[in-house]
Amino acid sequence: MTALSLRTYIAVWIALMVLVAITCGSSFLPLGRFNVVVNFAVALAKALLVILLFMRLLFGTTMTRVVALIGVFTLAILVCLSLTDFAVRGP
Amino acid sequence: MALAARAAMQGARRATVLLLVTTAALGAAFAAIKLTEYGLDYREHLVPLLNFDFDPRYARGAFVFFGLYFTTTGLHLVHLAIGIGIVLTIAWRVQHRLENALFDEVETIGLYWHFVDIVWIFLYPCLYLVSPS
Repeated sequence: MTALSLRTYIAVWIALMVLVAITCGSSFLPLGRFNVVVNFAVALAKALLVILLFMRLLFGTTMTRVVALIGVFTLAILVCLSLTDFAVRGP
Repeated sequence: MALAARAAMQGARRATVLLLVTTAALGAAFAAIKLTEYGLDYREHLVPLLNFDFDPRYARGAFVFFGLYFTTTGLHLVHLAIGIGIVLTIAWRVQHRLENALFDEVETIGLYWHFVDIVWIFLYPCLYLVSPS
């Protein structure tokens, strides 16, 4: 079982804080639709940091990764099904 | 939390307990801020079904938004409260050497804690960063 160095944890924490600053700061800029793109790109980056390093999926077995991916995939199906309503609903 | 799991992996019992208690304290601070915010929402008449008063031109949309806001953050808050309870329970078990397997217990609650965190990572842009543009 590999233990990450303390330095890595601090670096990840700083990265998460910088990403919060980026996402929060960007919401004050009038970027139109790109505000949403930036926000979700940052959220995805933060989630990946947490999943891969804090939840140690980077060092997990292939089986663990597959199980995690199934969760993401199932959630994606649910989101898509919800969005079908959003896409076709009239005013 | 991640550091507590690291300490548990290295068998550092005292550090594990300290870091778990710190984790619970930070979680409680988050919950306190959240509840303060709920109080402010209530005073500004933003709580659907209970105390809601909004510019009638946008009231319908705002009703849906705040309904979703309270449902999602409320559910997150419930999970956070459960997390704090379990984190403190495991800290107590580690302190008194009652745990079955040090790393497994801390790692498992760590996975739960980080999962709740990831939910918040996505709720934050959905609820707090919606700009009028």
